[in-house]
Amino acid sequence: MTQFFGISIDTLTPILLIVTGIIMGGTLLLALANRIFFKIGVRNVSRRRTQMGLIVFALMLSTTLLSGVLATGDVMTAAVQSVAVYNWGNIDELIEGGHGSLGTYPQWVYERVKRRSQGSSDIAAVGAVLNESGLLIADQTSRQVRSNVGALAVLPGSEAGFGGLSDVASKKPRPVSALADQTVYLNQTCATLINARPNDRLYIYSSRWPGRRYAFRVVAIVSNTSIVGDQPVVISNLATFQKIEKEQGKINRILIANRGGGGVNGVGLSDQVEDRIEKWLPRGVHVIQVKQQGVQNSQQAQEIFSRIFSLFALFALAIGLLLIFLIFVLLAAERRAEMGIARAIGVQRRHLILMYLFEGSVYDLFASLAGLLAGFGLGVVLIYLLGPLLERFNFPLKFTFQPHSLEVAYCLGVIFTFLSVALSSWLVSRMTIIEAIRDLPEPASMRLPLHEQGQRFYQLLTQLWDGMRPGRYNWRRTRRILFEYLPESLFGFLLTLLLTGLIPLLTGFLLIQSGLNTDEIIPFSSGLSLFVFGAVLLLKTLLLQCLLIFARLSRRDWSGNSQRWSAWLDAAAAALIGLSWMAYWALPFDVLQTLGLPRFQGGIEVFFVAGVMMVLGTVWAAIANARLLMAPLLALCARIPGVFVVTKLALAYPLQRRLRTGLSVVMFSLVVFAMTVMAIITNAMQSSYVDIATQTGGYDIQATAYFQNLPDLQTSLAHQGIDPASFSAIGVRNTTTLGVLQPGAPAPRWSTYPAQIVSGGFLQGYGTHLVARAQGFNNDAAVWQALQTHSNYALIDSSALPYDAGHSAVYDPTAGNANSANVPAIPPGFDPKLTFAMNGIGQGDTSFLATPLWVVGLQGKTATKITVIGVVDNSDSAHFGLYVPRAAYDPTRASIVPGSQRTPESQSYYFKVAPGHDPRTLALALGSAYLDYGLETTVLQDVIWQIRGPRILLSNVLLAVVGLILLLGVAALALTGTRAVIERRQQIGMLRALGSSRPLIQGAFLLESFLVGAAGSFFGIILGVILSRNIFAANFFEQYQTGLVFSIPWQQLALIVAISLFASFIGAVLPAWQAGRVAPAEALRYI
Amino acid sequence: MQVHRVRMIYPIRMQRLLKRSCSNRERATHTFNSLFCCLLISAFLAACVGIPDNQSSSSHLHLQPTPAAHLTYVAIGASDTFGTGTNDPATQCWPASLIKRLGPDARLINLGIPGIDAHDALNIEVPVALDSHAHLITVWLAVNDLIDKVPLASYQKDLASVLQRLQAANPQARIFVANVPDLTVLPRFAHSDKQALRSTIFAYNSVIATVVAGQHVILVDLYQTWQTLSEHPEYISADGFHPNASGYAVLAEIFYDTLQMHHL
Repeated sequence: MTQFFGISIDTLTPILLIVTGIIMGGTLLLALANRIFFKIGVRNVSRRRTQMGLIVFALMLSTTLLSGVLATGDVMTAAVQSVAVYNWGNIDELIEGGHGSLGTYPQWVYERVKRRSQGSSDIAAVGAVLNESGLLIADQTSRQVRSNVGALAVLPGSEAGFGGLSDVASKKPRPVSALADQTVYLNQTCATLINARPNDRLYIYSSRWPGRRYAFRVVAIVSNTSIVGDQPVVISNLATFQKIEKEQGKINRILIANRGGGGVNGVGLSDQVEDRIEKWLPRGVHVIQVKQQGVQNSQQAQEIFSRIFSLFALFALAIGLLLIFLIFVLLAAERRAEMGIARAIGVQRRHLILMYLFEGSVYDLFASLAGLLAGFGLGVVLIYLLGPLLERFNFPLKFTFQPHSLEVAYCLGVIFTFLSVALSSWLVSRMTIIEAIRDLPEPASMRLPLHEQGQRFYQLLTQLWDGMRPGRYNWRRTRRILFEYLPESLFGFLLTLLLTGLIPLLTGFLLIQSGLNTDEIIPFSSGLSLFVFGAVLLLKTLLLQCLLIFARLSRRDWSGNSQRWSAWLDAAAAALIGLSWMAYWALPFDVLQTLGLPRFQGGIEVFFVAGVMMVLGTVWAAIANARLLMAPLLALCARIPGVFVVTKLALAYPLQRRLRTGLSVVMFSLVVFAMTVMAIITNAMQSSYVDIATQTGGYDIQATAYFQNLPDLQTSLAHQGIDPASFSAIGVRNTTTLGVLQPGAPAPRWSTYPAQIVSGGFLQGYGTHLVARAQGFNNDAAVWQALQTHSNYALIDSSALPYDAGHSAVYDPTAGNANSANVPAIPPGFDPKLTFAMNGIGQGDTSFLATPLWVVGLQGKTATKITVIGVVDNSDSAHFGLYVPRAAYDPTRASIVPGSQRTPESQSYYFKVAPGHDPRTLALALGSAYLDYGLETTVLQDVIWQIRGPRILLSNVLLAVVGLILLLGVAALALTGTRAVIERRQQIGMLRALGSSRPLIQGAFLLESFLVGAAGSFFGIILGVILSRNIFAANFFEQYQTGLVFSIPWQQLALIVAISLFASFIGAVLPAWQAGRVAPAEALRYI
Repeated sequence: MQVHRVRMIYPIRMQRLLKRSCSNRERATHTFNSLFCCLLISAFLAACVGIPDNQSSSSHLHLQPTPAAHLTYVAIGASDTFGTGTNDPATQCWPASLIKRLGPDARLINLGIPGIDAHDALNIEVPVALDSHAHLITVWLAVNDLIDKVPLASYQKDLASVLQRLQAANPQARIFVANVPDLTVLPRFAHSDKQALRSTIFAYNSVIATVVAGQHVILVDLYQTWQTLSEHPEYISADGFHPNASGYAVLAEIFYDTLQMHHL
């Protein structure tokens, strides 16, 4: 992983290490200076072992989450780089250019480069080849045909510097010099595709030599390493192809390997090597940094995964850190009575904080280390689980774990634990001793008016001055003023400004200004949220003041009512702020633009901030008004006395301790929320990339006849010795070119566009998915249904839609586009000026008016009118075309478009293999049976793996991240449930002493746990779906040409909720059962 | 203590037991809460029932409308109408130049297809022209027929059919038909038998004139009005056959002048 939250990990690590060092060093010094309190603090560790175990486990979970996520990031980075590098073997640069259709240049260029590079310390090897592409080979022995095969005619001996060629079977070296005329090696990919073996006889065809073919004998199958690569290729002696091409003494590629030992190690030297070599080259020949370009292209193409991963990592971090905070807040609350007693016997507040800090530090040291090891282990498990997947790629991926990731995970855990401990202990230390001992709620603190606070501050400064004067120096008094009274006074002053809304208002205003000036969404939206927060608090303060003035004027006694009014106003303010936050952050992200505001920018982290704000706002509004919201439930239960008592008891604690309940609900909501967002995104990725059947149209084998069209398959299959029952379905897809005119365009004219004449599974949505549909269709299924029943309906691919400047920009200014993702924008072979582009709908639109088109080519030379009702995703550039039902097509009539230079038609056959049959075996049988027709068969699953391999791998890595977060999140929820019961042993004792039965207490605890879980799940699911919808609606993924579409995986969401509730239940059931068995006297003593 | 426990566990029954009547306020609260609860349940049920089904409503298909225009002009023709020979056929073809002269509210539907002859235009271009409800139609379909040596009788029949269908479907439309210009001056025919070519052109133009007169449409006599072509070889594109952007601009002027002569 190279970046963490947009900051380079190299920059972040030293900062985190320094902060951690300061914290640990400071804690150590404090421990040495306060040994007694260190001993008292640490005593709790051994005294309450169950509690310690739970805390250590929770902290460990957090660190595991962090280190696990970072380890996954490292795996992803390594995977992306490996894909790019593996394809180029040991080649770092190529020298190309030259003349003619092959781009050849004299062989002496190679001799010169080789001679001069011997003195260069950066260049490890130089090789020369004549490279060809687009060959068709027919293996006469295996009876298979394959198109688009490359030829690598290598200058003998020049491959040695790149590691040489090695036999796949025997692993022995296979030098090119051993190849005689009319003999070749095949690389592993090519051999697999045509089922070739040594001594097979091949014919090689090329459109460059029409009417000619060359016969070769396969000498050996060589591995895809060295200079070979994983594209299908035949390797021959340079002289062989020089003779075929009549290019004696010419080459078209010089291969360069940098020093560094292959992989990405030599990429850093590419610039230097290029500068050096360019000086040695004649005009018209140039250096291409292929490996560096490969790595960059691969990273750009897979960039969306790193962004999604960043979002997931942020959620994981938030869950981990919230867990730490929650654990220590609960611990501090549990210790309140104990701390009260300590304070009563003369312990200072700072001593309490120190004790708590020491205890927390000990937990942290143990837990973070264990968590790190667990995270590291998870990374190893991930690689192990991905093993079968990687075998499909045929490239090795090792577990790489950057030491920096380890350090970042550890430091973040330590820093946040320290901050949580410090904050929660400081909050608890500011207790009223009497109330703390009796474990009663803290009374509302009386805040002095601002002018009185000013006076107090002035008095403190005067006293400080007096205490520091020579002769009257009083260190004890000065220290107390400096470190206790003054900070407290200052804090009180700031708190007053905060609670009256002035600080939030001012900060919000400044942030809004900053956001507007920089067009950044996060400062603007955060500022707006703070502004609302401040404005509502100010309004509340003003209302309270008005009520007081009114009471004074009317001379009524409002002493009893004021507290009630204040509570009402607090609840109303919380509801107003919380719901405003929720509503604002739940708005689609483009809505601000429609309100006349500028189009803001922001990375994917904006969705994280939005999610957290939505959860916080909703839970705050709900918890502040929990009493009101729960009243109907209580009223409903009032009719059933037994249930009423359990419900009342279950609600008593959550309604009383709303901060702790709120934190638990936030925790639950955040876990379910994160899981919902992740489930929706990974579900989209899985169905787009991993679900092979969806992408292959339900068919298993594709076949294309290169020499002549196949006869009627139903009769000829049996004739060829293949049982027609081996196939459950056979489909035909014609690809042709149509003349297209859109009458609704501003200036209609004829242009050309490819057409896919489809039937069967293709008409049911297999292999394609829609990114937009015409108004009047409620869902995609309706579009597919209409396409089956109306032959004049059609679909068009998304590449035919123009980019709308107003729509195409996504929130993230660094987002890639079609060009940067190396995606062709128009169908291959088409002239951009003559290619059809649809009007009235732009890229990113999801709804449009059904668009009539006139087309020529479906019914021969007759114009027919069709209506486009949907847009097919073509983000992978594999779905160009107008998709027209076969019923609209007349294959018997001439379909050439007047003026079109394109091939009139090509036909592909699709076979769905019957259950129990092997697609690969049948593909080979088909190829063999129809060899005379030049039938090339392809197992579609293999093609999908080849094209989508990296994305499938990364999708599965992200799925693993989701699984990891789910696992740890669920453990966190179970832990929260357990802690909620354990900390209340004293209350349980009290209830038991009052006569509550064991089942009543157990039932109440379980119900409480369920209610917290249900509320959290409800908020999490709803808000998660809203945020996911916004992520997809903001066109975030489409900009990366990912083809991801929004759909809600209800089953998965239900499973997540069920697992979360179950975890919470399991977490609560054991302590609840134990709680019921606690003897009242023992519980009341609280040991 | 016992009473307290019983009250805790059985509150309602206890209230009756102790014969404590509920106050009005408590009763109202209970009623309100029960109502609120019922409302919540009803709302939930209504929401569940109200979830839209997945059925299509394709009968309510909203079609993309045709842009409104003061004058809709349809150009029927072949590669010359399409704009072959220019760098940007869409903007440099002669109908595009002509539409600029016809005013800002005029809309062009260019049906020109390279290589098309009159017979194919009948099935490809005419249906689209009929669908567009044009106010002005230009037809220039002769050169490909001439080059492809389509028999004159067939050509006459096809051209007449084109015009008949256009007139029958849209009697209000003004139709202009262009004839064959003097192709003998083009570089492509530099080595051809010019006399034979000229006589073929005459024959075609004669047929066009006959059909135009018979259908009561207007002739754009390119042969006569574009005689200056021989003096301007710069009007011809690199292929030696099609005009270039300058040539198309001049052609547009000739069409515009004819339209002006007929008060359009």
